[in-house]
Amino acid sequence: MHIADQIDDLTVPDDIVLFRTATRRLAMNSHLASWTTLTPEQDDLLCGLARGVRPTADGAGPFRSKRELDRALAHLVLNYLVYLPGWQPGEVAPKIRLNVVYYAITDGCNLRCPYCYDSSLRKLPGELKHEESLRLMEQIAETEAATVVFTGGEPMMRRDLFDVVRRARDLGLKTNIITNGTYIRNSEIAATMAELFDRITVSVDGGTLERHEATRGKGTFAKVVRGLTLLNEAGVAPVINHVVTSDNVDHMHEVAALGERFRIKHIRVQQHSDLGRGKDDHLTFEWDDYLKTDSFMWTEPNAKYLIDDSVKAVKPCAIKGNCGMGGNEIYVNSLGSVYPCKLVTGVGELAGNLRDAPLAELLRAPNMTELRESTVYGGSVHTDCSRCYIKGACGGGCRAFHMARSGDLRKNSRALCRILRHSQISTIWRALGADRALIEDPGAFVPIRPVDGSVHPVYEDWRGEQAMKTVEPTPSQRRLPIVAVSA
Amino acid sequence: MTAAGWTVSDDVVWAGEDTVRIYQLTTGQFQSLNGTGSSIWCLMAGGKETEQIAQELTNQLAGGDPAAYLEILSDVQGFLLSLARQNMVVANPGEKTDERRGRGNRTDEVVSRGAGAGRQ
Repeated sequence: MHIADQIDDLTVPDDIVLFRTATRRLAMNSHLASWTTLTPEQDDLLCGLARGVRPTADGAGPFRSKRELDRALAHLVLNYLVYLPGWQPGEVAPKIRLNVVYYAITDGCNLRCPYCYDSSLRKLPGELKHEESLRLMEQIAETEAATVVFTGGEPMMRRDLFDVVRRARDLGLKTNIITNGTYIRNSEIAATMAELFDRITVSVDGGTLERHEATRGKGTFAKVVRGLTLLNEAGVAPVINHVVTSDNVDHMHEVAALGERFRIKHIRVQQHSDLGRGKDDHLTFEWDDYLKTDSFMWTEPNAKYLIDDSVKAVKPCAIKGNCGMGGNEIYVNSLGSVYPCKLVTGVGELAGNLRDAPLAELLRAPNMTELRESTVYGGSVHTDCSRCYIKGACGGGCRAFHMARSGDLRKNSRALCRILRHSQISTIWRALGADRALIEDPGAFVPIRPVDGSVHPVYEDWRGEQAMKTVEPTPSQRRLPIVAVSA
Repeated sequence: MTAAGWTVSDDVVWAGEDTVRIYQLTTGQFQSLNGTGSSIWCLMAGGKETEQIAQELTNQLAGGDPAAYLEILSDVQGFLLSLARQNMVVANPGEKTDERRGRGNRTDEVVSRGAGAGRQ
């Protein structure tokens, strides 16, 4: 039966939003993270169906024949903007399979970055001993996880690092490292790293000595340049991690230029967050800073080297429902304590310690189960996401980044949601080949509901949070739950 | 003769990348393609000719191995011909057709062309 023959029974889900510019129209199904462009006729058809208006194919309207109507309807149905009779999307459940284990092999670090999420200083008493670290690798392999990411602190400060990595590789695990690069002192070390690591990530705060050393300390730029050079000479194309802040956002071009200077996989741009020492530094990353990064991604040729934290222009097959913490990835700190994420290490989020229970048992801890099973479609962690028009693609965003702003892992920061929503739509427009003029159109980011033409109610929910922040009496209360601030 | 280039039929509406979903206006039927089929479809719809599609898949799946290319090319040709038989794709304008046989059915022409020349 043709779709046009079923027109009376077609349904338009509540989750649809439209973005209308002078030249192009975009429609999204937030539940399924489906999106596509529409012609004005398809837009009118969709809105009509949402309002119970059924067009005819007699030439009186825009459709001169049943075939034309059928074609327009097919575009809407195939892109999940209209559902066939009796059809509803199935439950979206996250694919829970442990994939990545972040292991802070030491808390010792030779740098004192002001925003360090781990607040790393010196090696902590009680650090897992060599034999314990080897046993951890065995337990990780037994879970059938794919990858161990060695981090810290500065993992290169642990003298037995390479031996532990060798053990992991012998067990069939992929091995990555996140390092500040200062210990890549000679070609022998670089060659060993090339042999032992599938991916090497080097943290760089700026593309110049002045910018990098403003946060990483005197003498560090030359060392990281030496490290990157040695890695390149050893045949390694590293990833560069860059934390973008209110202080360095105007100098992203300098960081992006590193893509021309070194052979790299890409530069991952992460926004500053008030985690760890970041709670007490003077740095921020707010809406205006985000707009600068977004503009950079649209306009700068060297932005091709950058991957930012924006929500990707995913399609239905890629939706996961959550960020994967506690399920697809976990964190083991230097003392053997297991957490759902390297950024979520509060007392209440501790699954347990490897000295008390095996890793497989800790993965079944109630808090880990709650976190991995909660999704934007239901669950205690993502209740604030239930009405959002990008939830399917976003998966709730980084819960730690929300927590840093809202004070609660289970409560969204609407300021962050505002950034996530804009970045999602911006990324989609970019994927559609839109030009700069289009995204400067006021309608490019305003979600319209087809059922009544109104602006989606969550579009400006950040204003309420901002209003609460303006009455915030002291900076320290930024870390308290918003409900407490408003009380 | 196997056509070097194909175009999505005007009787088809489609969407998707990883899983291509297809609706045929003539029959009202929905179909979806598996991952490999979707890759071939997207490359074809993007204007790639059969040999280019085979080369791209060979690069992705077999590191460019020339022996694998021949096998993949054969599979790609077979897949596109099966789509042609189902009126989902048509040979690009200008492709040689076996007019001498005088077959009226366009699909048959495409299929008949697929039986002959153009093989590697």
